[in-house]
Amino acid sequence: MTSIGRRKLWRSFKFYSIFRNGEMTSIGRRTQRRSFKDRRNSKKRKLEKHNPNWSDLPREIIERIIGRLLWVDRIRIRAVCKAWSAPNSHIPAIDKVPWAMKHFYWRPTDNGQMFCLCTLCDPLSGEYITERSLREEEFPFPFFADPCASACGWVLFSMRNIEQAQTSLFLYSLFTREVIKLPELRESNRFQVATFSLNATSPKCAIFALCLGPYGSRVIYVKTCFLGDPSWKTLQFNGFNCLNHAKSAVYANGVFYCVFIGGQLCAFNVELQEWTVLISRWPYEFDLSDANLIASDGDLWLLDQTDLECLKLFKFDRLEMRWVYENNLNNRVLFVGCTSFFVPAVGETSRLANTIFCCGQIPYSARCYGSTSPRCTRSRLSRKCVEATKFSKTWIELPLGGVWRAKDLMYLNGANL
Amino acid sequence: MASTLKKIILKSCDGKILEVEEAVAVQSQMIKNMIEDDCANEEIPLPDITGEILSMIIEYCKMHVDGENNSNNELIARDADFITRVDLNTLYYLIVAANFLNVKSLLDLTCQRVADIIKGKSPEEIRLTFNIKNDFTPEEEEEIRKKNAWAFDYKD
Repeated sequence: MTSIGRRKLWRSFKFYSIFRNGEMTSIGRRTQRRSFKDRRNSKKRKLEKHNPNWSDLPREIIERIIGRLLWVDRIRIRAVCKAWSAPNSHIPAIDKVPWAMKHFYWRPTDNGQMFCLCTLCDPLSGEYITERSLREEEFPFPFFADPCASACGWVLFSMRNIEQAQTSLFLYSLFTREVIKLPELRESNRFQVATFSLNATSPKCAIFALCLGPYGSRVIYVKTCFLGDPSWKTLQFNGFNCLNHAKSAVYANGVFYCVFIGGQLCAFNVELQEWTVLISRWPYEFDLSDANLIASDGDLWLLDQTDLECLKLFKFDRLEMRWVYENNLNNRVLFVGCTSFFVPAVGETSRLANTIFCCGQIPYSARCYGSTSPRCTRSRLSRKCVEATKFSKTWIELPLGGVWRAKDLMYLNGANL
Repeated sequence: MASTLKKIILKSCDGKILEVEEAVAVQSQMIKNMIEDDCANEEIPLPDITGEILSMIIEYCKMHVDGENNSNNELIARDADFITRVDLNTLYYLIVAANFLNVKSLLDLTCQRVADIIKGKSPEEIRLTFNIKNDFTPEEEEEIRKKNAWAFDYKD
């Protein structure tokens, strides 16, 4: 049995070498009887050797190389030549670290156009990617917009019109540069938080916004809409003290979660249109004046940044309906912004384990969390991440599975409704 | 003991004959398979590999066999030293040969080197560096750039 297998293997090898010989103008045979002419030929071959054709590399080698490139290089390499431009989404990406959005503003020019500036920073390469473009004034934009949430390369922005005391929302794709304007928020003078649901597998996108009623009332307006809807669906619920502002919102598995500075945690189920107060009392003495909700792998987390020297991370216990203090990041890295990301610290990022990078904060440094040694904050990569964190507005998850275009999102959501 | 001293005879495409210790030669999965199948008793012709490239590969494999007891960091440093001495054309033939001989660590090292060279370069710079001909029509190239415009106008 084995001998047959062996013979087969040998035969296939022989066949391979003969085949290659044939292809290479029988180099093998010639070299046995070397003549002057052959030597000259071999010199010729040597000269040829100095011009190898890199686009001729076997497919598997090109893929091997692409698999070692950062995402932005993988995009650029597509414009080099046909052989290098084949689809490569099946090759796993090495960079899972989100990018920092450093600048975002639009400014009207003298000739009625909009000058747009957007800068992203990739912490792994330390490279800045700046988009400067002129575009037609599709609708009046204020100079600055604040990011509310980010997913799949799209960012939800809120912009405040001070004259009219109104806030409007729009979605912007950093990678396709498309804008999707959302319906006007009517009760927007006390707009609090907004977020949206979008993942790599489905273009279904729901947006959630929360506004408070006028001062003196205890009303909460919960607003949801799917892309393509002409207006928001507004529900009114009994809320808390009118000064109890909403601080942070996230979406996970069909539910929007929202946390208030008074410590209350509420959930809104999109399908059932149901508003639930999960935690009505915050058991600690301090207010959540600066806190971020984080949704990751079906779990809900809360990072309290009130005391910058002592960040506190809590995990939501669904059975007991309470926050549980978590003293370890379990070898992950946490990128905190309006949308936060847990990234496993493996491979290149392993030195970042148990570090937290908080967007645009003073002091601009990485903080180690939990019990592990602080060595990670001294690594080169950590310094790059700190650099990216400085003045950043939000973290952008790389749309590794592909970029959703506005028409994908609008078509599906519009067709469903 | 006898088996480690056994020599494998390799023959490059330009007729160079190299005798290699078995322990070094089996770094190549292809040669290892041949030895296991008892096919390595006569000289092994390597039709696509020149003597120069073959001796470099053997140097690399030797380095790895000798360095087995060394620390991982030392081996990484030696790898780096080995690969930075290699020019682009040689790198190409090293990749092709490492792929043919199936020397996984060398294939990883060389591919990583190419990736490191590509990193942060624009398509024009990549073409220039590797001497690659642009085989796109202007329309095709425009289409690719338009699709991911943000990735291309990154430089001032």
